[in-house]
Amino acid sequence: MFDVFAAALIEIATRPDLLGLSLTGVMVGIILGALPGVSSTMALAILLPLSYAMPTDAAMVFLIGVFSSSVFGGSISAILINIPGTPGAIVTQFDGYPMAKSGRAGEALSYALLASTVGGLLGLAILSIVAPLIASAALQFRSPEFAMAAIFGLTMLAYASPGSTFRGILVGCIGLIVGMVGFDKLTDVARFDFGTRVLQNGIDIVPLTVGIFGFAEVLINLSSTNQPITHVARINRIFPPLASLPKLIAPMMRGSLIGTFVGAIPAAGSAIAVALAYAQEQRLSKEPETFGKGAPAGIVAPEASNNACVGGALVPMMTLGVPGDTMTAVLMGALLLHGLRPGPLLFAENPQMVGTIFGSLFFAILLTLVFGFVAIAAIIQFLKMPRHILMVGIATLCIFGSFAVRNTMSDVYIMIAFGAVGFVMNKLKLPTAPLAFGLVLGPLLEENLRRSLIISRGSWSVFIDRPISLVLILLSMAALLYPLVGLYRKNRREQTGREI
Amino acid sequence: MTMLRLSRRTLFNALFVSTLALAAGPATAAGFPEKPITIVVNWPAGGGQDTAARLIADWASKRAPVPIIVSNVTGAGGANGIRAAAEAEPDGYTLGIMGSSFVARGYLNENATPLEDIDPLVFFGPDPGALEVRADTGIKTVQDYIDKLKAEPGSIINGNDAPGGSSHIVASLFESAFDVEMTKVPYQGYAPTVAAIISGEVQSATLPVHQLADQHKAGDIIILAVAAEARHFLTPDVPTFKELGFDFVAGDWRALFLPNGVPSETKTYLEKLFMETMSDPAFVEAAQKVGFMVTPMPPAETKAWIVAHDAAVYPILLDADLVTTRKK
Amino acid sequence: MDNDAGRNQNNAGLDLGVAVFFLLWAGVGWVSIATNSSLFSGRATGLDPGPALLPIITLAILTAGGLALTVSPVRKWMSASRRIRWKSDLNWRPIGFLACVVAFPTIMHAIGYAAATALFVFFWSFALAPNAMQRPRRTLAIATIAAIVTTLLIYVGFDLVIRSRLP
Repeated sequence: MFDVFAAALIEIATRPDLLGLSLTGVMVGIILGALPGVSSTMALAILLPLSYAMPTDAAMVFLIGVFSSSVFGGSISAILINIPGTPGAIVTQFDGYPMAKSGRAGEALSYALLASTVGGLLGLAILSIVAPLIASAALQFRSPEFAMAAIFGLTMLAYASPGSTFRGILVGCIGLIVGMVGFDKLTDVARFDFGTRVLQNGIDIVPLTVGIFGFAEVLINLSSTNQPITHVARINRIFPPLASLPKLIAPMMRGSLIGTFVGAIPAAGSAIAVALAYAQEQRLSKEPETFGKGAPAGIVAPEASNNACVGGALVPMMTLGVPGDTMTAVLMGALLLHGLRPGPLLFAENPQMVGTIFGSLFFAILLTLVFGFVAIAAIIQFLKMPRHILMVGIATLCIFGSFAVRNTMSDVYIMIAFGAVGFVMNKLKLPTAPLAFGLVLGPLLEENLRRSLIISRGSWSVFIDRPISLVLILLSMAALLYPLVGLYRKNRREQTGREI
Repeated sequence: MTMLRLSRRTLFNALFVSTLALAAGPATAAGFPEKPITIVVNWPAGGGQDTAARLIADWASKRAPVPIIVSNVTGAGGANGIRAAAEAEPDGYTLGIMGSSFVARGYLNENATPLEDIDPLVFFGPDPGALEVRADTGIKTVQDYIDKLKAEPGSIINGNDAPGGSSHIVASLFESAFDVEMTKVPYQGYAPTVAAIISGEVQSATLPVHQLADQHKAGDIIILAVAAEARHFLTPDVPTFKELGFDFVAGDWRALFLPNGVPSETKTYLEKLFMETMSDPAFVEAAQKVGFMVTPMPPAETKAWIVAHDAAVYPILLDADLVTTRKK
Repeated sequence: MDNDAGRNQNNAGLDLGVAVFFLLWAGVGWVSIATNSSLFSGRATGLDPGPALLPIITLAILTAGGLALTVSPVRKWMSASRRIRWKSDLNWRPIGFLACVVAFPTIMHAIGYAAATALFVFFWSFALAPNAMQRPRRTLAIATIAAIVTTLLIYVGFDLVIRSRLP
């Protein structure tokens, strides 16, 4: 495998046309990814026809450049203006935006970029070494495991909002209900729709996050001060302090592993990977209370995970012929158009193409790093514009971004409604992040729980008969009980303290 | 700085383009087309419908004086995109693409667009269903499959779409044609169903042939028969149901349509454009690479096909309690 | 799990607001379920627990949680037998802004997205500007530039490049 990979690397490195295409793809990908409402999938689909005329290897180099870099692009708008450019960036902003708000936008972007690179490279390494192994492991992950993984993710809500756990869980429940709006995935019955078209569309993750994070933030900004809205704090530096980096290696690694594996599971998607990576990092952190206020670990773990998903998502496509997500579905379409059928026979019949895909991804990641730093230097200048104009501009972007996702005006109304909800929740001092978690994990849980029961013919024991599912249940229970134990210990300590 | 320079350049482009648009002046009736034509796709980018539409758009653009672009209007089980195209200005600049789910959706959702509200344009091609089983089930022929279900109703777990989706309808049609009962498990679209049969969560599937052609070649999955009039070009070794003596034809299909009320010259122009595009051997070859069968048909025949499909499917939907509106 | 000790009277209003917020969601949810007959029709296959199961469980948790949250503020209110003070730090800006954004799609349909965007950005860039009255000409100039630039960026990004179907 390595000789093919090396040959492809040399091939791309020595051909200026391929390098140029890769760089073009990376630049376009970052810009489109940063536009709210343009997901990586859309960026790929828009640029796909451009690749029809190219030879197969050039088309792959270009499209993988777009694919891989748009993931980082999505984090730019997440960090700068609290609007996720792509659904995979929803978690990056939890800490990225607070950090940017405190005048450290350059640092936050650099953390994201470094983590992107590490995550991308790690995902690629795992992909190139153990793709078939991962593919078969990922196939063990079926409906019961999906359902229990969603449960595990939901128990993480207990950690996602320190200090107000109970309220966090209730907000998560609202997220679950919001995720049920629209047609039921299994029976096509409309739910929570009140007979209206707007609600039958269901609530897409992008308008919701744009509304509840981006637009709500604008409203909060407008209301928070009676004094005029002034400039943001100065942008101090671009590169983060070197001393902060060693501590972040472990979070990046954990994030990457989660990303690669979740990405490899067909139809799981990066939004789930980043949610799990973030929740886990918060749980493991020694200072969980800093999360949500600009903790570097809260940026790098989901970012690494988000980018590792790229490599992960290629695993099922290349080994099984099943696209891991919608982005790889577009890539697969491109390969098919060029007469290549990714699937169980690709490694045997067409090793050069496998090498080219690995090589393209490698260069895409490197060029994203290089171009990313250039872009960061330019992009943060954007924050120097007057604050009030920035706010109006962000609101405009919220409107058009949420429209563009599905080209329907109802998504704009949904965005506005959740902007208002986010504003009210801020006034009530409720955490908003669990709502997004609930929306991502709820449909996953419901669909797979019910499907598991159909397949097991109604027997609930399916969840404890399967080993991975059982482990996930035990982990969830541990996650739920752990804070109670902590509370008990604290109480004990306080009591004994008082006695002495 | 790069960013700033870039935006300045795009800015200039934008100004340039808008000046051009102004210079072009008011629309004249005769000159259709004079601005880009849009094909509205009712499923997200990356799906089968989207791939077909982008392929058609790309090839038709080479024959038309204006670009043909694809726009995805998704949600509500595909009903949004259909409605967006059906309610668009009937000037010929907006087309839609639809598949077999259009028919079922019309009975499931009172807000969905009925056939009367659209004007079928050109048929793209069928995407015939097939019956696939895992090799480790030991089932080798369609007869084995039917015998197993007759002996133990519901003993085979079949992966398919949610009720009303194309592969669910193929499965339901199969059940009624052979008077058997399988356990139908719904998945969201083809890719998850493929993953489910490969991983062994389900034992059989009723997906279109091209989804599993490779796995069939690799030997993990056996395609028992194709529910079409002729064998599929990807799997020439697989017989049709008809060859095996079963009268069973079912599957998905795709067609372009216009909103009602498009002027007849415009409609004729578009019909000619797309009929010629789809009859081009090079286009057919490109489509075949992706796994699409191309059998273009003019408007009247397209409409007849849809009506026939509707007639075949309605009893099945009624039987499965999937008719909640527009009961006949 | 909430530690209420040490919270002052002002927070009783906030706590009650939180409870009402959750109960409102739950109430709307219950109404929707109660009026949705197809939810309980037998479309689900025999083995599927059906589309009503999870909504009911989630709404039950939400309702119970919301009710539990009303206990402490109500008790505090009773014991202190004082009126809950509602903090009001709202001002006109977010509400006016929200109203404008709600009207935006309608305006967009009427006069096209470009004109609507330009007007919106121009008006609010002016209205939110600090010291607008001292330096009206400068503020107007900035607002005009902002309106033109934003509209052009939207045109290039969403209309030209990604071909969004803007009205």
